Amino acid sequence: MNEEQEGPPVFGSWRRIYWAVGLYLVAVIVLFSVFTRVFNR
Amino acid sequence: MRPLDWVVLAVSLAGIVLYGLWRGRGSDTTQKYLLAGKTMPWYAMALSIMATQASAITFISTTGQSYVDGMRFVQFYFGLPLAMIIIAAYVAPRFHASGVYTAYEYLERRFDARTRALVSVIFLIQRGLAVGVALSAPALVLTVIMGWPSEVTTLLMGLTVIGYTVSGGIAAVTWTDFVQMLVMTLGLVAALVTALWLSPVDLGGALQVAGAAGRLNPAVWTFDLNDRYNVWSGVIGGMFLALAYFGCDQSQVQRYLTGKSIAQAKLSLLFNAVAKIPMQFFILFIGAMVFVFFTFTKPPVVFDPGVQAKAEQTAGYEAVEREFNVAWNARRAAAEALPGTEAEFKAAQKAMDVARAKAATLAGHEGLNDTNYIFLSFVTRYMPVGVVGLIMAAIFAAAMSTISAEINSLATVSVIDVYRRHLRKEADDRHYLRASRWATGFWGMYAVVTAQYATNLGSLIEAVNMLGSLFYGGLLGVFGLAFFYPKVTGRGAFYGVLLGEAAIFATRFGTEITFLWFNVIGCLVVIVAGVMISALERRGTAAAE
Repeated sequence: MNEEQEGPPVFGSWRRIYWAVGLYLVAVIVLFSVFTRVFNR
Repeated sequence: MRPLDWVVLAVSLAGIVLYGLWRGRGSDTTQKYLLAGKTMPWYAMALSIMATQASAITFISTTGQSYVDGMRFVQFYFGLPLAMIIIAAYVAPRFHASGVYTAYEYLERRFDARTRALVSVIFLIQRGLAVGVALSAPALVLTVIMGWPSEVTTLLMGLTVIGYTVSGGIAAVTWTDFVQMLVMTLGLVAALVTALWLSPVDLGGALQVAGAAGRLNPAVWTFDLNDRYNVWSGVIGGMFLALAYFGCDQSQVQRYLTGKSIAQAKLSLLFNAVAKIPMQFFILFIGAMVFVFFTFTKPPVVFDPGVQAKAEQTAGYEAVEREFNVAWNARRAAAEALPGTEAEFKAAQKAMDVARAKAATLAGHEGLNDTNYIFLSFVTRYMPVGVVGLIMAAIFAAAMSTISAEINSLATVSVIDVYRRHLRKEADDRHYLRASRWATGFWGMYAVVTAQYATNLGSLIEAVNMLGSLFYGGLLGVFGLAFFYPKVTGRGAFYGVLLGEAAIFATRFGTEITFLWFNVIGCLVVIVAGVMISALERRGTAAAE
């Protein structure tokens, strides 16, 4: 296989992994916002 | 430090150095010495990338920052996952496929030798300034704990790192980073568990106290260009800074150039995209828990022992200490009565801060800044035997991983982009291997010398990030031109970088805009100027024809 086209070990394609990482970031920011709202006075 | 702590520290450090020497054996060609023969698996590169970024400053200063300012610093890393996606998708494959030793070598292939030389010099200046700061932080630890002169401590630390880095090159650096990251993780877990265990309140109570003090603020949505840490500056400014650091800074690029394939390099970057924010959250949370601990155990008025000792010698200190004690007792009483006493807690906190500032003024220090001493003060005074040694080992591991990567990359750029390109173009591989070893030793000693001047820069982590932000915008802009603007010429890129740097310095010294935005401004100026100059050049050429 062409080295450039070597796929990732999970999610099937690099594009899907990038989307997963982007969604993860959104989830982290939402989680931190909730954390701040609940605990910070 | 008690005997068991010394044993833990000595065994950890000796183990790391010996492991590095063992892993680095066989680095007998320039390619093996500088790129590990392109054999590295993703997990070694991933932890090496992480360990290189997590310096001793991360332990010492970040925890202290959380103590005084809360957890909002974590937002600085919000842009990192986005940057990693861009680098994994567009940058790493091109570097990898082009077979370069340095990121700046790629610029000559795309533009010209002049642009490569300019950017290499910018890197050498910027990274050369930062390496002293990275070494001075652990030296600060030893000076505080053992009272050794900082000259001795920087020399000891520096020589240890120089030893395995000169000997084994990047293979030694990467594999020691791997172990150092494991030691750091152990140290972090030990620090958090101990901080919680020593506090008289449970986790729920600790969250209530830290929250009342405004320390649990990992997401702040207020948009303000002059505010360093909020979601907007974190996502946008942080992304530009991370793009520049991981995509254009040789100390990081060299990590993933050693990968055995592009896929392995991508995986190492994406691991960091996911792991970095939780790690920083964890470190900042430790600082918040140290704050909780000192809510119920009286802290020193000033954490910096030198400033504290000077203040104690003055006539007005007793009155200031009384003021501090009254405020601390009021804060503790308010903490014990939470919830419902948040206003009293905050008022007492303000009174403590006023007393602390007065003590610093008595000692001749206008503007108290003892952030770097808070975590150390907690570790050395209250941590149980054995754990102190482990945390010290973690701090040293963090320092060594950063310094080794920095001197390794400085040496690589010095030899590949300057020496081999401009000074000695035709020599055999053994000559360049020898030159690389000498350059590594030189940059190591340079770090030791400059570290002497770096201890008075205030909060060290901000100093390093601020330094980086003066130059990263220019670097990022020129790589942006290289990757995404195929019509831009060498002349456009060269003058674009110069104009971008001018814009950054004008912003730094002429406005109040905070440093996280410098990268955005610098990068955009480089790109706009580069595109316009190239267009004018093409028009001029077309008219001449």
